[in-house]
Amino acid sequence: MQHFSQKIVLLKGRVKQENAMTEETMLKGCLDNLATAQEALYNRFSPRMLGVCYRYAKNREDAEDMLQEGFMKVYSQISQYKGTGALEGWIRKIIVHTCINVLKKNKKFSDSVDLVHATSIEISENNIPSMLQAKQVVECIRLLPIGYRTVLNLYAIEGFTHKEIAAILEIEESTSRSQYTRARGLLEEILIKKKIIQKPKERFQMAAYK
Amino acid sequence: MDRRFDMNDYFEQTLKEYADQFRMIPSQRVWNGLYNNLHPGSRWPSITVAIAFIMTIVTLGNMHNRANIMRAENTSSGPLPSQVIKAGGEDAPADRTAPLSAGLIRDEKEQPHMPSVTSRTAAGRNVAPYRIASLEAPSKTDFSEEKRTTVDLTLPALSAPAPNSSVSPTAIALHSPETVLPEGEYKPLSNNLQQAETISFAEPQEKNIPDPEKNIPDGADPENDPAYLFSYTIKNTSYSIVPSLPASSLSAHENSYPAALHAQATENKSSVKNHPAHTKKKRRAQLVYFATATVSSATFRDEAAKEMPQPGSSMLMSRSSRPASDIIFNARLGFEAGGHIEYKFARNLKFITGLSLSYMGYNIMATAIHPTSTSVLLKGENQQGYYIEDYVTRYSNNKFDNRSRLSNYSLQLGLPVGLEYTFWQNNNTQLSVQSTLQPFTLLKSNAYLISSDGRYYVQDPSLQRKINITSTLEPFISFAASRFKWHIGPQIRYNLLSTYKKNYSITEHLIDYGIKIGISK
Repeated sequence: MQHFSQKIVLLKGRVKQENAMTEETMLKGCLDNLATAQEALYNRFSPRMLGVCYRYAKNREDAEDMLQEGFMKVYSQISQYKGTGALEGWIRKIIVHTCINVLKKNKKFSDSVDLVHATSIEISENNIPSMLQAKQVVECIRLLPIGYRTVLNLYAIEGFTHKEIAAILEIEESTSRSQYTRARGLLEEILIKKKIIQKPKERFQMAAYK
Repeated sequence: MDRRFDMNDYFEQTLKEYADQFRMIPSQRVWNGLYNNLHPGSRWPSITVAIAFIMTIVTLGNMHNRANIMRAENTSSGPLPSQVIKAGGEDAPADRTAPLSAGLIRDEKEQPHMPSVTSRTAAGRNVAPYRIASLEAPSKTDFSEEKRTTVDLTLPALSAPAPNSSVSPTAIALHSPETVLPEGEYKPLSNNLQQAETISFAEPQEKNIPDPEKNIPDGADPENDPAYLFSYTIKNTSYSIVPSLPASSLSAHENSYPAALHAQATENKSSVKNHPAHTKKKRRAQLVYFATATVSSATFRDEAAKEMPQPGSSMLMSRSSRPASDIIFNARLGFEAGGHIEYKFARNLKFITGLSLSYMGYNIMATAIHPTSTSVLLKGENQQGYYIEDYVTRYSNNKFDNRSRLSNYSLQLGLPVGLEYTFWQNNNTQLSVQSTLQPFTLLKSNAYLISSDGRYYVQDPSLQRKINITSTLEPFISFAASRFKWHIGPQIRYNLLSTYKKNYSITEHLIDYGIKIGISK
């Protein structure tokens, strides 16, 4: 039995080593500008990264444009990846910054515009086709106005601080906080109405930020 | 990015969980855009190849047509040389295979006023007159294939032209453009092509591809069994697993493996895993789709020139000595498309078979004229004897301004069978040469034949072969790009058998030059 379990340990080690080597091979190939390695990297990470872009973009086409631009930066900066931290996290960071840059080209994140947009959200069955829950949640996020959505993505999902968000979006930190508060409240309302999440027992007191 | 450390909010955690689960498959255009930006140089070979391909086709076509035009200018200026064949016997036998009696025929230059077909008397001429017998008025004559009449030319006396005669026995009076048939309804010869013969192509037999996995002993698990990794040797590969320890001693030494052996085991495992024995999708047979754009032309040879009866024999007919060289034609664009299966049976050799559809042909530069009677000398059954077949034609071979373009073409369905030899290769590129023999059947065709005197073009589909064989030679380069493998190279195709049956004295071999592009996965 001991002999058998030792065999298992040995094999698991080999599997991990093989996976690591595969990623290494991929990175080495990307450094050498080999198309096969670049395609392998793209195939491995593009589905999830497109999901990230889709949360920021207006539509799928815009999301794919962001993805393409983001991966171009990944390939051009691949030499800067030192191996500290997961490769996926590093790629995701580049993709998110690319999405933000694209949005910044087209929009200034200000309160006044978002407030106008916030009153015009229609929540109806037609907005969200029947999908898996993950996609339902993402589609609910996409119902939010662009400013709310961006701050929500950066704060709640990507984990930036309000200070960082303010620096990235070139807004005030207070604006970031207020937009997040409003976005969160709105999203909760949508998700509860869609019965994706349950109404909390305690009501959330959303402090209006003046 | 630095994540916040205070992400304890349940709502945010739930949101993040769902968001991280979400995936979308991007469309192909994203990768295509990335690839084109990352490897812009790869676009240039395809553009360069396309330009080279178009220029090659245009250049070959122009070169070929220029040669034909020069030949036409050199050959159409003077009287056509001809050959007189004496005939014996005055009465033309009904049997077409029997020798005919015929008369001397005038050179149109010497006697511009040719008589009509219906009657002819030559008086006051220093040549033997001729009389056409048994030829009905054209208006009543049905020129359908079944009712074609044989023109009998009878001479009251046969004699060779006097040595000092001003008459050169070169012309064919009946065929002078100035001699027109009386107006009437001329029923054209049947142009119905015979139904293409159907042949059944033997389907390529599926070769029993030896499965390397059969070399693995039963019950062995080469991917996971360390003992197997060390004892397994793979046949017919360029590498083999270096046996480090015999299998029987593996268990005893497992706990004390040195690092080097462990590394070796890992490497061997990946080698085994990547070996074709375990890459079940590795195929020896490969399907390649191809398309070829060609410049299509033909070569002609006058077989009858050496076989014509010599003076003194039983036939007498004037004809051009080299009607094949009188044909004025231009190359035209053709194509071939299809697919073939390549089966690798040796290191550098592949067996090729498949299906192809090809279009070959050329244009004849003719002159439209009034309906005119002409004839073609054909060999009889079993290549015994000769006979004359008469036609009515609207096209002559003279160099006038009223040019008409006659299209000779054939649409063929073929079964290529051959070999491919690779004489150089690396990881991505191969240089190979392929040669095939391709029996084919005609699906559709059109053919104008030159008459025996070289002056007219007639149409007779019954003289075309329905089955023929093409040989091809194709050196090419193969390279892998993205998801596909491309094969590009020049191609030469040559019909081994004449387009026409052996009855017809002129042999025609269609020949194509082109650029072939193939794609495989």
